[in-house]
Amino acid sequence: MVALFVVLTFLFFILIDLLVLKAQGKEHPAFAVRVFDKRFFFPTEAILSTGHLWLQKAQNGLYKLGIDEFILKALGKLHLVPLKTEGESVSKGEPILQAVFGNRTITFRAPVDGSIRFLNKNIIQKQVDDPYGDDWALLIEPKNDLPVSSAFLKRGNDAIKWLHDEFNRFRDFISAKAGQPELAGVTLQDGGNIVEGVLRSFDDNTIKEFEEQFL
Amino acid sequence: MKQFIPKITFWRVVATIIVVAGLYSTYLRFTGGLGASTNLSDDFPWGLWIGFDILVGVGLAAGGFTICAITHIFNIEKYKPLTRPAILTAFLGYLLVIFGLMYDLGKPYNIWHAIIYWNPRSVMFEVAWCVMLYTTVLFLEFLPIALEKFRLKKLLSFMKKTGILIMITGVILSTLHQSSLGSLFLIVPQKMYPLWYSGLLPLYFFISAVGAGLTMVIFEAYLSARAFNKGIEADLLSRIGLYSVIVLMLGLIIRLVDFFLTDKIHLLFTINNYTLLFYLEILVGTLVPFGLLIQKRIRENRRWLYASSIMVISGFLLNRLNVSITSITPATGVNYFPSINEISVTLMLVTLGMWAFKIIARNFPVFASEVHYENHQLNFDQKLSESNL
Amino acid sequence: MKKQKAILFDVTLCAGCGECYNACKEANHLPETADDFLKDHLSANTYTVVEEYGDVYTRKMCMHCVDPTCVSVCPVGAMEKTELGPVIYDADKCLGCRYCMQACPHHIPRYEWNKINPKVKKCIMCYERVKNGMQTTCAEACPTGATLFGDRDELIKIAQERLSSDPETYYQKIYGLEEAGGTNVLIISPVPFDQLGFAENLPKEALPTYTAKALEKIPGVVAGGGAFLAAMYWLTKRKNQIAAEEKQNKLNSISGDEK
Ligand code: SF4
Ligand code: SF4
Ligand code: SF4
Repeated sequence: MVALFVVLTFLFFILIDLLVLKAQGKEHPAFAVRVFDKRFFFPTEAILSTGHLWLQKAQNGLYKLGIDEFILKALGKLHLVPLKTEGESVSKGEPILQAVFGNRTITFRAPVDGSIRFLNKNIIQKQVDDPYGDDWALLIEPKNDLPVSSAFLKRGNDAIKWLHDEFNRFRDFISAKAGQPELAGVTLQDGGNIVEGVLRSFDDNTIKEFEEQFL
Repeated sequence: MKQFIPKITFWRVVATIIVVAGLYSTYLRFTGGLGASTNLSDDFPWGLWIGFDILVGVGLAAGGFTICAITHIFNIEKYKPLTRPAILTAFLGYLLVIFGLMYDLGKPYNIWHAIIYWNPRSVMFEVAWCVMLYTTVLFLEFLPIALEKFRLKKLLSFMKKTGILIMITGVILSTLHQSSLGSLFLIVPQKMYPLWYSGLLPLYFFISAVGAGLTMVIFEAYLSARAFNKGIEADLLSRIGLYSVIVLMLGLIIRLVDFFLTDKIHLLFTINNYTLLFYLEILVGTLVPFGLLIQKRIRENRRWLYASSIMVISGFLLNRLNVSITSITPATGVNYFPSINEISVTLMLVTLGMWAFKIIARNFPVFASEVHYENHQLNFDQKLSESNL
Repeated sequence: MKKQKAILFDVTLCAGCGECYNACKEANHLPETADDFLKDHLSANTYTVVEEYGDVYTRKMCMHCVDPTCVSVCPVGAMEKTELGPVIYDADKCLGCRYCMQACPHHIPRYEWNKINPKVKKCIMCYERVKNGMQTTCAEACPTGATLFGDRDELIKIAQERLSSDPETYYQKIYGLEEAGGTNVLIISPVPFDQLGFAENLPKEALPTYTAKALEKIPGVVAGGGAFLAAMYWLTKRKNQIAAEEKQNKLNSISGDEK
């Protein structure tokens, strides 16, 4: 009986931990499958904003808008909720789009002034898995022509380079939060790779900080 | 050091409650004696503290020496990233065992007597010495990690040269006392339920400690992943899982063959609580995890690997407690169940251990290993330049 | 070696008067523990009891084994088998691990559970008296001669005579002749011993031989294991080196080709 009691106690604690994780809307980080690596892809025709949204020319002077791969890798499974309706206008820096993961959200800000023309109905309640393709979020008509390049909007190699920088920054951010500052360079590569969706396992404050620092 | 007041989380609250309860039980134990704090009696002198704190504690710390043997003696370098956490787990495990002994011994202040009064005929004497020496060895194995942190290069390189001697000593000491914990029970053949008594107990204890110790490395990796928001070395761990169940299966086969040779087979068909516990033990601890992890697809699935590690550990818990408590029960005629104090002290020890691990891992390069760092750095730079193209 | 002292207890002679119980309590300064001595049991304050089984009485006390389990298991040698036969205890050495209690085949040692500085308690065959050539207090106090004190050889002889001269009365066995290697307390009885609460499932060999078999292997494990591990270390290290060198050579030859 004692033996059974001890085993059941052990299992009980494990079960409680799983429930606690669930209640917090987090996922056991060990179960995240993929390692967050530095290999990013960015379509050549698109423009990337420093708020991790991309714009790509469609017809009639409209631009498709979506989130980049970095966000997907940092947050893991998520779906998108537009904060504006069709026809509304939006000015640069205003909240335009929300990513929902678990029971938490982060908010993206509009990269340009313009008006919303069309929302992608296909992404409602659907997990994003092709961020540059089918899973774009909305069509926007910018007020002004987009600059070829600026500090806020990047193209091609510039965009990829910037994503790398963001990755490094993110890695430092995570290791600081994970509480092993002097291990930063080491931990993360040595079996301690940050995993995709790593952000999910942090608390709300950290998510907030992430929002402030990265979006 | 930004926050001086730690944030309140669910587990912190639970841990605090456990430690407070444990401290109260500690107070009872050391003011009222064993009688006031435990359900032990003349009829049942060894209980949860021996069965769990000592037998399970030492057994699960076996991951330390097996991983050391794999990486440093058999020179299979790829497992190196697992070494340091395993050594730390083992080191803390042994410290806790000694700490736990302080509660269980009637006269803990006499513990050092084992050093001056010798009785080489006693298994307990051998265990005491091995545990003392091996804890020292584990300290020496952990030392380089600390030295690295304080950048004591000279001492470090000296340690590295003597390292192999320390490692070999550690493996031998572990082999001896892991098996001796089984030998402790050799002397009570008339008292133990025959399903668990065997002249081969030392061998069983050794094999199951190796198997479960390896699994503990897996379980501990998941715990660390949980605590430090890091990934796990899934490829390494799934191989370790495979080795672990193979070792355990081997142990089970030897056990069954021994049943044949000693005419105990009929006991397997006698239906009573003991037989059921025995079946539970081998099913949960060996057969099911073996059936699972032998399949590549399953052992490479993180959830199944985790589930299997939990099963193996549960089976190990069952085994040690069956040997030390269940099997003794019919002969003594009393139904021992641990008192609330015994339970709370045990929970406190485990909590303190996890807490210490967390603090040390935060402050020392536990999840690092130099060799791999360099290799990875290389790969990393390559990838970087590739993607830059 | 001196002649070993022993106690012979004859169940047929025991009147259940409890004189031994009282005498033992007095001699060892043990407090009273029960109103009715027949209902008492062994404890930290009771080294011997008289038990009633139907119409016969028997005593329980430490058996003073010839090769005592308690002595062999004690890590610090706090239990000692004296040359004269009594098994005695040194509380100053004892750690309180209670292995002696766990291991004793006769379930004898008791513990002072409620003390901060607890001792193991059991009959010590009045060692101080025996050392000075006296008999044990309980033997002296016994009015019927059921408890006899003397040399072990002689007591065995007496027991054998009683068994053979009165086979009707006696169950034909001397308990303690070969139970777990034999004991210095011998018992003869009219009924089988398991009916009197004695362990009948004990092996003939002394129990310490069981662990001795395991402990014997230690030097082998140390020497063999050490050699094996060192060899493995050297071999695998060498293998890795060779592999590394070959790789280097290949690399060199490739870069040579390119030139
Ligand atoms: S009966 Fe028990 S306590 Fe007495 S000598 Fe034998 S083993 Fe020791
Ligand atoms: S309790 Fe004391 S006498 Fe008994 S085995 Fe342990 S140290 Fe020896
Ligand atoms: S021999 Fe002495 S200590 Fe033992 S029972 Fe008799 S009187 Fe008591």
